[in-house]
Amino acid sequence: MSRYVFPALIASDLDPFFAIEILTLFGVLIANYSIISLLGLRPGQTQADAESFSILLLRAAYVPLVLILVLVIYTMARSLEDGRFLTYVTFPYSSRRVTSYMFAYTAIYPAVLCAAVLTGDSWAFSLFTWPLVPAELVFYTVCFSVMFAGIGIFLAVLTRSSILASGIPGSLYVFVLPAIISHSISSSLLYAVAGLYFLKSGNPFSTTYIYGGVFEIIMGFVLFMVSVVLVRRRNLRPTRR
Amino acid sequence: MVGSSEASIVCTDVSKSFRRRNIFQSVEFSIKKGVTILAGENGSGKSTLFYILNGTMKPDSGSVSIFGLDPWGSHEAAMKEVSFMLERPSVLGSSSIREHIYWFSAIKGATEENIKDYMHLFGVEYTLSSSFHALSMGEVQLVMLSCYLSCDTPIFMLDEPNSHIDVHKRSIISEAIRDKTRASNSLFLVSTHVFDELLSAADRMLILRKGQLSGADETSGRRTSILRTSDNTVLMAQLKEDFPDTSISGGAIFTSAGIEKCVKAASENSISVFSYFSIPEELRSVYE
Repeated sequence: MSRYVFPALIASDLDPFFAIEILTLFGVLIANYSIISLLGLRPGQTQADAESFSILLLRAAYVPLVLILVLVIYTMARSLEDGRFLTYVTFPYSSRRVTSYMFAYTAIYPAVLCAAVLTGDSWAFSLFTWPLVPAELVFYTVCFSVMFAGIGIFLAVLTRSSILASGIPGSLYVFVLPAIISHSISSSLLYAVAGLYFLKSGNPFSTTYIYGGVFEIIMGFVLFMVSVVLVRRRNLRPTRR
Repeated sequence: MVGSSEASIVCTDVSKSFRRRNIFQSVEFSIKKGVTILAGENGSGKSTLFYILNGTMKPDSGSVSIFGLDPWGSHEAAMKEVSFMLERPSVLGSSSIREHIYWFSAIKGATEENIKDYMHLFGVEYTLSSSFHALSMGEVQLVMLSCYLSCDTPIFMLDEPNSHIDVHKRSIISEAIRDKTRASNSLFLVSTHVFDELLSAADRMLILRKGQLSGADETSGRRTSILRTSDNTVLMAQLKEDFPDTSISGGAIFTSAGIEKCVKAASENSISVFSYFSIPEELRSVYE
């Protein structure tokens, strides 16, 4: 048996919404291009201008990124609900391995999709002239995805409910946090909790956001480790059929 | 029970409870090749015991070993040689049966031809081009059984493989299990609360009842008839004259009389027999 068969199965099982995701993200790409062009916005001639412009792109991709993360977390939590996770464990893969693959897929797949679109944007708007700009876009996307996946997998293992595991972080990051947190985040820890929606224009790789991104990754991995410990203690029998 | 040195699965003093509900305590057995049936009523803990044997659940106390390895501590190594079919295994990939078979054979090493042969044996080869959504529960169960029986492992654990299956197909399943055991010299541990068909394939029985496990290395061959009739009291009195062990429990008559005697006695007293089935005598205590 090839060592890639099981990760491939996880990818296949966790992604029944593939068409929706691709359409959503390329919709964002087209919308970015047309709306920004229609409004007459351009990256500008300096790196600072390009940096400010790239934040617009990132914020435009924020909600679709959350949507895709929520969809993947939903299917992951469903696998705990309907016994699919247990079926993997009987194959036999350890619950630690199954959880790790699921976390990796949840974090990497939306980040890669979103980063691909943002890279496409960078190419479309000639942001590659300032290489730090696309690198920054990818960095913040990956940090946010890791944290979000960590929260999702932790809630999935804790509650074994697909609605709660996907709904809580989804509504938190789309509705609650944008409503209660001001747009002037200066603390990296606050940024780590609040996520890339609050990224403001500034110098590329600003210290506050870099530290915030690192905190996001740490938070994501800590929650993942807790989930790995927790899943061994959970009764994996299906809660819903 | 067999000596633990020659046994493939050894369970020593295993207890399990959920919150305040005691599922079973001090369960001990060791089994080797052949077909072992784990029987018990609904909620007796059969599936829980399977999960513990499979290493997906930790016992409160005691230990389990499969080929000398602890399935909880070394799950992947211990369960490598085991095919464990859950009561309701999940579909792999999308809902297409072909895709499920593809993933299953890629992961478990079963050949697709073997799976299709079993599907043919169970009469569900026509489902190959369907999706799982279009199948009945019984058809899904038969497709899943076809997949698991195609595996080439020395140990098979099947959790209630007969659920949702038609009566005549249950006999085919029993035969398939028996044939597989003979052909591959493997160990089958099969749980069921449907006694009659699967027991024809049993070499040994384990009976879970009220948190305790009892076992029989070989079935004695003696059978107990269980009848539900329009007048249990009269028929019991009639049968008790020749068969003193006849009794009524749970709305049914339990007797060592065979089917002919039972039908004759019912006919003489104009009593309708609603249901009849025969179980090994060792299982009588589970019902009564």
